[in-house]
Amino acid sequence: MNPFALFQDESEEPDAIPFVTDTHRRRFVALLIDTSWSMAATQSNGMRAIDVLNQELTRWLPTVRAEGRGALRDVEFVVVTFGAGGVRVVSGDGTASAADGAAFVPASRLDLPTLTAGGATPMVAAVELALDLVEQRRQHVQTVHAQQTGGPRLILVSDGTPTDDEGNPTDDWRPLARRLEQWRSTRRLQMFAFGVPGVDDEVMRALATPSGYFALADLDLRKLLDLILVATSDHVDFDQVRSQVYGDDL
Amino acid sequence: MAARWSVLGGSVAGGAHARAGLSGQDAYATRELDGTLLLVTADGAGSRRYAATGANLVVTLALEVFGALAADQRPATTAAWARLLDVARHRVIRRFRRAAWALARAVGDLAPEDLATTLTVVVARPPWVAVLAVGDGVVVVRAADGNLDLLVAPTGGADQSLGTATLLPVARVRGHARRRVARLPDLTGIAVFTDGLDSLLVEYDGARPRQPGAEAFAQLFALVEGAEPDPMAVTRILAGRRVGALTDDDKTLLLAVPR
Repeated sequence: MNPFALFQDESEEPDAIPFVTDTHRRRFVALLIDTSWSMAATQSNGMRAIDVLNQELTRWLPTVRAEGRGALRDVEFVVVTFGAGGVRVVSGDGTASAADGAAFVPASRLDLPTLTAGGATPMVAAVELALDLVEQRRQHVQTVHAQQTGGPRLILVSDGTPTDDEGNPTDDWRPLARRLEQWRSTRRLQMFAFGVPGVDDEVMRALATPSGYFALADLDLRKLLDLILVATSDHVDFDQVRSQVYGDDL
Repeated sequence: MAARWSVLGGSVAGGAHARAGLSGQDAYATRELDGTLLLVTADGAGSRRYAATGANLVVTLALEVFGALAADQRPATTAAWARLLDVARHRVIRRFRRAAWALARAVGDLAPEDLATTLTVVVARPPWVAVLAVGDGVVVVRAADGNLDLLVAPTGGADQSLGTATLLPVARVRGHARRRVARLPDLTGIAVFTDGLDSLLVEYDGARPRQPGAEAFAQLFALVEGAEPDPMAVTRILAGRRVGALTDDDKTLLLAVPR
């Protein structure tokens, strides 16, 4: 039991300390979700994986919005899917724009449409788009709102191998890995990649580095979304996510 | 002799730990020795099983080492204080590493990095304030005119991705320890806190820490300046709903004012 629970139960707040709540700091989190055909073909507990994902998202999004009024108050999300419909922005107004009111939304207002699965796995194009949007948003926030930003964060979820738009395997992830490495060293990018069964481990490790890649043993989408929330937190390192994924078997 | 400092401190587990019925992984201690004040905090790495043990252990060691050195030596220059910090740093880290490796040998499934922790030590003997920090602790000092300075600022995002490699006992100390010596004749307050509070107590300019939150510290220092400070005041604030809504991390805060 929390030894200080008695204080939390008090009906009257014991303090009125004017903490700093407007930090003038924004962090951008790009969430990239694989919605290729395999998400429709793979079953999880008798349901299509994409249906389970949609079901779990309805549970997860209110949690994110609640955190957006507290610990995630300086976070703006952009959510990009790759699969059905090619590469699509599904957050905000759905346009691939870094302007206010477009693709980026504060965590407190994050909502997503029902996702559909199908088509190829244009993962590389999706990551490239996310990087471009994050950079444009950073510049917009700095120049229009006169605010600087924290290091961006990319969270990639996939169960497949990168392909071009027509489903042909591609090596385009190799130059992308170099671009990501440059972002890590010069723009403080932090990237977390979660691979569900079927994923190409080599690609994910190359993109996210071995430290930032987490291979999940099964298609537990509830756990995956919880991990994404952990990876979005302000004070988090790869070790913390690793301990959540693998428990004590580090 | 009568105490020359008024000190309040508190440490409360973050929401995740509290919900799991666990204690936090921060540790702290304070001690006054012949007018010299020691403030020590440690923030055990959240991902490590024995981080709370590491944090408590390193706080105990730091109190012993710094206490002995401060009793023996009376540095009167910046260089002399810097040497004291270097010697203390060397001793604390050597002892902590020995203890960590001994524990690892004694406990089968424990690795030294399972004790991973930050460490922040403040030695205050007016007009001098000396600080050793490994990891992301924060130290704020207040001058007579109420002006606040970040003597040790939050480290920010880049270091946060490096994990336990930047923490004791495995950190490469030369690269990751910060040393500060300041001569502050008009010092009127010191605050030390762990990173769980930095977004509540530090104003940022983009990703760069700019200055301590003036309004928050005005009220926090007032808690310790009263005739009879409430010893639970800091704990009560840290455990309040307001702080719980703003940060899910473990949080520790020490406040000290000269009498």
